[in-house]
Amino acid sequence: MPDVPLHPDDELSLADVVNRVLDRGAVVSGDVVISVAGVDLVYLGLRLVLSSVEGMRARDEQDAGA
Amino acid sequence: MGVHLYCIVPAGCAPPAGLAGVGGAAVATAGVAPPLCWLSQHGTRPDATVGHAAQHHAVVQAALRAGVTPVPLRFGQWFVSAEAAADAVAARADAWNAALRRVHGCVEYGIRIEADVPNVAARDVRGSHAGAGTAYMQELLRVRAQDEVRRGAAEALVAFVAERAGPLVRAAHVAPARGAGALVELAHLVTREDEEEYRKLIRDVASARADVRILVTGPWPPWSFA
Repeated sequence: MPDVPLHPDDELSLADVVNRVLDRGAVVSGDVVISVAGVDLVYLGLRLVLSSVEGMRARDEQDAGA
Repeated sequence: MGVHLYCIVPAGCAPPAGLAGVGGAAVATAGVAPPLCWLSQHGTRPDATVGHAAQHHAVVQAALRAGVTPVPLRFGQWFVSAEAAADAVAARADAWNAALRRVHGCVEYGIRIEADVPNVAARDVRGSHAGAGTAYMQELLRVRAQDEVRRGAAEALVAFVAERAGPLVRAAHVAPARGAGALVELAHLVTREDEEEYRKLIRDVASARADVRILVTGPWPPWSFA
């Protein structure tokens, strides 16, 4: 029987959380504006930007520790 | 100074004592008449980091754990004050109350179906008289054919799941697949009473389709049905 985990690995869970929080859910009024690295952006497919920012931060930390 | 919003909740639903939200800020209720909203105060608009997204989700999840199904709000909703937020919610009170009724007593389950779709063979144009432009167009055709194969497989799987899980699913949402190998992603709205039966049913679905990998996540707040 194929494995059907109801509590999948953390990586998938975190990706699902980010996907839901940023891409789903109701909007109270007007545009949704989110701020990435201190810059306000009108919400538009920012999952990719988020990944990049987090990736850059992780790389910066690795470089700093090297 | 302003407030960050998390979710809409029905009357009498207060955050658990000590509940912390984005950046560790205390979560409070705004509004004097239902529907109410949960929010936290901040000096500046919170950055949209993965950590803040997880904290935002944790607040919405806290409402679900307290036995209330909230209407989750997307990250990034910022008002100058709790009063301004409450006014904005009150301005569409009927719509929010309808949304609360729609998800009342329900949770969301996510289903991600992964499969290895056979590759459509590329035509080898080496040695032919076809130029670079022709090869490029042929590659485009191959990619398009591959997309159609994936789309057909996804539609068949959605129908397969719907046929079996349909009686227990109050609403369904089909989302574009993310990531390599993912064919399709589904979200199901299920009543709490039906959760156990639903989970068993999805296991049965997976047993019947050993040719694909089915990953189930949940229970979630109804992010896809807000």
